Amino acid sequence: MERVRVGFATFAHVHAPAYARALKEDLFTVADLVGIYDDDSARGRKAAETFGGAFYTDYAALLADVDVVIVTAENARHTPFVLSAAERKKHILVEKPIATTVADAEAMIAAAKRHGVVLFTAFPVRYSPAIRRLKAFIEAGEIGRVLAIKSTNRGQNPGGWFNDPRLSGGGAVMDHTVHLVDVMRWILKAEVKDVYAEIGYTVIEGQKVDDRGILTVEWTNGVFASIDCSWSRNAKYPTWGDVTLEVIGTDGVVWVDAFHQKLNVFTNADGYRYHDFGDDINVALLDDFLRHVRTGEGDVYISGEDGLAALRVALWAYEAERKGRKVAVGER
Amino acid sequence: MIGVLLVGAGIMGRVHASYYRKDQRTTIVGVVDVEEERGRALSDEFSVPYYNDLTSALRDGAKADVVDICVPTVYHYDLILQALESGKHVIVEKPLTRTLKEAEEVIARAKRLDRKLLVGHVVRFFPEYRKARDLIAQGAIGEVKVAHVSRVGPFPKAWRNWYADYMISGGVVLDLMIHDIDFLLWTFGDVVRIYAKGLYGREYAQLDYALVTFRFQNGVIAHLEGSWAHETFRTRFDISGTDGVIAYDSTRDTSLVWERRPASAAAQAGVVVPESPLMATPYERELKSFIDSLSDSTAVPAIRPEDAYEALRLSILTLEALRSGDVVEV
Ligand SMILES: NC(=O)c1ccc[n+]([C@@H]2O[C@H](COP(=O)([O-])OP(=O)(O)OC[C@H]3O[C@@H](n4cnc5c(N)ncnc54)[C@H](O)[C@@H]3O)[C@@H](O)[C@H]2O)c1
Repeated sequence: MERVRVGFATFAHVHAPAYARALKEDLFTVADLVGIYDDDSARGRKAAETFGGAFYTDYAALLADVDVVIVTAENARHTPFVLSAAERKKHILVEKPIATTVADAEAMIAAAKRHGVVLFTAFPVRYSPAIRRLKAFIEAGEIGRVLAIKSTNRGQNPGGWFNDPRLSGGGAVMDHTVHLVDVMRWILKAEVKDVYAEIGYTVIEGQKVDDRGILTVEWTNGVFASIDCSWSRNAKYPTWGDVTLEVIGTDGVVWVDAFHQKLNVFTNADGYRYHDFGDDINVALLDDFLRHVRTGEGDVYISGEDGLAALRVALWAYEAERKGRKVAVGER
Repeated sequence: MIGVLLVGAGIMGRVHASYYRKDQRTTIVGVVDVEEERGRALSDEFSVPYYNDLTSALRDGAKADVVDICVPTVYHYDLILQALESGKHVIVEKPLTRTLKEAEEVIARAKRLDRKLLVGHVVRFFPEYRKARDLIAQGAIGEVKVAHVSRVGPFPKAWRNWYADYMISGGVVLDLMIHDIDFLLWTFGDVVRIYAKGLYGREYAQLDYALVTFRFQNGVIAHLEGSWAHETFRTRFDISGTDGVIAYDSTRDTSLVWERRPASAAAQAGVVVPESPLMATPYERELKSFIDSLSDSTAVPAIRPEDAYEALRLSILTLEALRSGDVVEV
């Protein structure tokens, strides 16, 4: 495959513009943005105008014209887009969380397998150079044996359908837990053994939305970890949020703040803002996905199973909260 | 003049002693330490008698009004009772005692004997914590939702490595995290649930680390990190509410950084005592408030024995949560 023809299955997710921009500005030598399907035609038309490609009102028609589809629909609506793409032998990049239920994620994984297509979960944090460095430190035994990890992925409430649990599957816990679980799974090469969560809710436009949570998990290799997934950065906070991991090992501690390569900018117009000068991990993720599609190999393969494993932890967190106790994996 | 009998000439004993040297209202009347060399080193500095134990100091009639106890935690109980029984007020380093039962007893005894029991929860005298609490109380960040507090540092080296003995020190939760526990209780009120994971029980003698979550009655979710697994002492908090965030990091938000060249670096010994240039250190502010309350019997101490009890209670419940591996309802 020389150039990859790319389509979007809706522009609902806030990350869609980032991928479209990456295609247009960074990956134009290997891929073309062919078209955008969106059931919200105003949104779809505007995206097509901004990033190029045609606006499609018929998803099947889009699929006929592309090699891969980027599914950035609402969390709960990924499944039909993924299933019909797989059936037509199109490769798929699916936004995280892969789905909002285990059954949906399993159906996607099975379909991709059956039709022999790439199903790639969008966990861009794996491409952060700081995270990679951390992984290399740990693999080289530089900090001894890992004992514990304190992690945060804080941010702001994205608004819109993110506050409608039927479309989002949940609030902050669903939105942010998965990034850190995925990175820890990748680095520790272990699975989560038990989960506890304290979760807080706020009523937003008549819906009860979880906008904060602290999860505590234990991994199968005995490492314990906490995850702050809260939408706890206010509107005037100098940046959107963070991804941090503090890793305690027998021989040392490593602190990673993946988005802390920043200028401190003070302007009369905006007050204090961080301006990030680090690498663009969305570009790196998309580049790697396209390499897998073109050549059958790439840097890391973030599979549907990886997406599902992370989703499960978010779901267990809600279960732990409902039950008011720790949930051990495999109980029941 | 307030006569102070100092018990324990270790790290904290010396911090306290240097305050008394400055406060004209006080005079050190004797130094007690089980280790003669340590005790004499300090008593000589003040030209006061040295005693091998508190009993002999009290018997010898050291003209003390207050006994200041800076010894390993497990010994607080006996010494407090002894001091109270001989009619002295008591200043004691945190934690008040090693167990709750002991704490109940010493508080009751102090009340019955009408003596002051002043416990060194010094974080209340760190201006960064006080200011954060004031801002929160003023509603500067709206309704608080998530509060991170963190206190990390190296494993403390002390007399006979007592910090490594869980029965003596209570580990990183009872000894170090208790500071943040006190701050949280002071700021957010009552806790309803605790969940905790830590290295305690996982057999790391010279390493301790704990991640703890408190749920408060008012809905606040607090996450606490306590560590004796780091290389540099550092305290942090990040408190977020509906209208803003208050964040502090002791390694960044300070007015002076001293980088020692290795050739001249003295061997590190003892626990790290946080320092940030202020006209009076938090320890001086704390001890001043204690001495104020001894000088004026109507003054309400900044830390009531009940506050120290609550901090201890929540610390012990946190240890229980660590042991049980599941939620502990408070
Ligand atoms: N507020 C703070 O920031 C802070 C900091 C460190 C320690 N502390 C507390 O202060 C207390 C002392 O800690 P430290 O680090 O100074 O300890 P340390 O080991 O430096 O000193 C303890 C001293 O007590 C002496 N001692 C032991 N048992 C004694 C006894 N029964 N009678 C008389 N002397 C005895 C030892 O010889 C030693 O000199 C502990 O309760 C600790 O938790 C508080």
